[in-house]
Amino acid sequence: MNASYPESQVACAKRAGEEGTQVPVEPAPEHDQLANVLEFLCRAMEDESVDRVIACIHPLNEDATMFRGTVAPSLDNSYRESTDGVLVSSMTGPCCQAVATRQTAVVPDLTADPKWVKFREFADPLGIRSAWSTPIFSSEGNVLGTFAHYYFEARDPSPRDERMVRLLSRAAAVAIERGRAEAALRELNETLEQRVQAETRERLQIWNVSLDLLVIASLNGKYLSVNPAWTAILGWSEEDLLGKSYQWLLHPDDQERTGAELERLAHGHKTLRFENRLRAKDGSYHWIAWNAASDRGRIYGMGRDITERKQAEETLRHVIDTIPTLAWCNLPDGTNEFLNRNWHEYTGLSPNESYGWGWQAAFHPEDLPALMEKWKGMLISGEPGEIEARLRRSDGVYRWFLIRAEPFRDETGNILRWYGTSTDIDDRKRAEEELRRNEAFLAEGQRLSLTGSFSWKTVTNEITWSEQLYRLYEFEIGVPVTLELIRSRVHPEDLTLLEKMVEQAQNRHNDFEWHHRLVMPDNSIKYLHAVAHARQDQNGQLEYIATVQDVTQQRSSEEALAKARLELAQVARVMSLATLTASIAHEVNQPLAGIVTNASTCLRMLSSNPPNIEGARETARRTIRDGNRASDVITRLRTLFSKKDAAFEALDLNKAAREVIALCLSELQRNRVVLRTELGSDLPAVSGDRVQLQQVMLNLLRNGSEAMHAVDDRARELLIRTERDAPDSVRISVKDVGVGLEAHALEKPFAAFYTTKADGMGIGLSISRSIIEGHHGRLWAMPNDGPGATFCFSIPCTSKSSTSKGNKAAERDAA
Amino acid sequence: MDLGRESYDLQRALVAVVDDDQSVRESLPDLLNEFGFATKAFSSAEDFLASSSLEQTRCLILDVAMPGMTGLELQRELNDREHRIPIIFITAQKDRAVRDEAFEQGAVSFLFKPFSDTALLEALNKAVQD
Repeated sequence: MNASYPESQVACAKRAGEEGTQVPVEPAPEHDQLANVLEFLCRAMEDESVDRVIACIHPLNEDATMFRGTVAPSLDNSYRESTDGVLVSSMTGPCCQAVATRQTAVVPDLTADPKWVKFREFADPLGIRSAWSTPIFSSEGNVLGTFAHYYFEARDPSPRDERMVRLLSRAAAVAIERGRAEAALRELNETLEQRVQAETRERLQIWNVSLDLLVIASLNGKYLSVNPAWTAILGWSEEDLLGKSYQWLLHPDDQERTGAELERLAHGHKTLRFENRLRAKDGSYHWIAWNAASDRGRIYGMGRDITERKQAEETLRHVIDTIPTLAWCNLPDGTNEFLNRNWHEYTGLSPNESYGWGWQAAFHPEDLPALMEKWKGMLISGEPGEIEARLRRSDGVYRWFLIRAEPFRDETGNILRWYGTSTDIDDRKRAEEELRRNEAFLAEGQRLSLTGSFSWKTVTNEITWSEQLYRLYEFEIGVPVTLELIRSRVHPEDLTLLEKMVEQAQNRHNDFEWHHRLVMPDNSIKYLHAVAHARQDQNGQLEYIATVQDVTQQRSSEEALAKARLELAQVARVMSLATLTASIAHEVNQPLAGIVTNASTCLRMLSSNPPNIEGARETARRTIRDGNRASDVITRLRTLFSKKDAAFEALDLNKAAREVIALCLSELQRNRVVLRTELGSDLPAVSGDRVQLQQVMLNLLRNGSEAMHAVDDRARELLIRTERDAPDSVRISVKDVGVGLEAHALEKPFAAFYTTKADGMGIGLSISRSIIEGHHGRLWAMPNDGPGATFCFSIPCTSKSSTSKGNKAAERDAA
Repeated sequence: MDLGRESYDLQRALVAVVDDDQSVRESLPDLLNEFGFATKAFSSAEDFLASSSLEQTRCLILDVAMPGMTGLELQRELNDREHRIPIIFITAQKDRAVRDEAFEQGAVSFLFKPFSDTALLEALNKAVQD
């Protein structure tokens, strides 16, 4: 609104408006002036004339059709009244004729001419006998009126009069012309003024009717003019305000801002939507939004009462602060205008810290670049959008949030604000991540364990496979799965099994499992083990969820293991046999060699010359002795051959030990081993296989002897002891003084294939242990207090039941 | 008796028998005597090395498996000392590796127990001839 009316006019129009009257129409001043002049001219004519004459001037209207404003100072008002408005065309008087003919009309004798009957109605009472009328011409030759003379006798105008008339007519013309011009000007002015006033009135209506506060102020903020709205809204009258400074009504908190805005206004800037609070007469404050501009030393302002809107905003803000989410409002340039209370409480950032671009500080530095890019994109496109980012809580912990924003537009489509929410999705995100991780683990787990899974809706026969199952069956991942497809892989011998399984699964609703084989394209066989669980899907129909594992490897491993155990057992047996055989060979070969040598010597002695009878006898004696030795050895060792399977019987461990000792005594002696025995008396019988236990004892004795192979500084003592081992076992210990064992390596020698012998096989202790464990006993090693180690095994004693077992074994042997 | 034997031995080649087995030490010397050799028996390689008969030994009948210094070790020791005595190995163990090693180290013969007297005689003749 750019008001540009000087206040005087406004004031005037206001008054007029207030009084409710039209602009006063008074007789125009120039009319009087013309009449005076014309009157003067008439009197001049009358005075100057020798004869008695009545002079009068009859001006015409603008278009010369009618007489208006007759001037006849010597005649009374009735003449003026009766000539006012007379039409030229009526030809009632000589003036009419004069105008019409544009020539002087002379009527020397009114009575003589019947034309002027009408005229005579006026003339006769006054005694007028002759009249003449001279047209008055304008400078352009238009007839402006007539100069009329009336005589009381019949006569012609005198030359003098004519001269006078001519002169005076000229003056009259000038006067009339001027009068007309002035009238026109006045009329113009009047019209103009009327128009101005009308417009002013209209404009004034806006001023008065406006519901907004309108103000005209000086550049330093003094109220110069205020509209009625000030009263309606704030209760102030104009008198209250005029001349006051703007600060008077202003809320103290808005003083500084408003002052600054005024400065800007004064320097020519426009104010748009500037909000401040004004005090009403009742003391309350109203929020006003101002638009203003300055012009030629004045400030013109319009203020809208937005108190209600502000209150609505307050309420809204309250709502926004109360709703359980972080909400915010940004400006079209992307800066923040408002963050709800929850936002501030959550992030711990104050409003000052977060307005504008400050809110960026609340986001995780890694997420901020993507967030800003998305935000800027949204600002440009105007499209709503969302993004996930980590927001920092007041305690410093970052949590995942979903940030969404939508633009808010005005009627023309311009974006006024962006409204958004930030929702905590951290739990969901972690759950998602965990789910993803679990799914990845599951997939990986399936891959590693060669386990696939499938779901099978029995009603529709809809089958869904996991990727790993495709791999198991060696089909391309994603190929639709049908029973036909499955059949194409199943081992022909297992097809009936498959059919049965399918039938049972469809008719029953139980969990089940089955094994079957697949034949792969390369003709290799796969063993599968499947476990299925029945459930109802979301439609209430029967669905099986199953895992399928490729157990081919396991099977072959198991088979291999069983085979290996068997072989190992055999090998062990063979090895034991081998060592025994070596031992036998050694034991037997010694006496054999002796026999052969002695026998040979004997023969030679007998055949020498002379025969050496003494020598022969000696050698023969030795031969027989050695033969017996050999026989003894074989007898003893035969017992080790005879027993093939482990047969438990009640054993006297001492007896078994003595036998073993006898067997390897010579070997021990050769190794310079000094054997000591401490065989416990009253040793209870144990349940066991004599052959196996003796193998173990032999093993321990040999090991003990080996261990002392390098001992030179002391006697190579090997101690065998038997004793009761509480509560109901018997223990055998073999103690040497050899290299000994490290305390932390007591189990090492029992490992399969462990050996310290360069050429040994070392299975001894490992198999010994399994033999002892087969006897429900245990075998272990201990370091000694002094040098060397002690190996022990302990076997449970017999119970009544074992004895009967032993009897059974004896029966079996007999059979 | 021994004295006679010993002085008689001075003209016969000395064959040393080194074996931890008593029956070997018992039986072999008599056979060797019948062959016409002088003999000396030792129960260990160490005893032999420490004995005074070391220098005079013309042939060594050596057991392989002995506690302490084995027969092969004695062979190596003698080689190291550059004291070359022809060696006839006797053993109860049939171990090819041992046999090969013995021959590689210069053994004259390798006999498996029990061996015949003729086999021994052959080996002895071979050893003494060299």
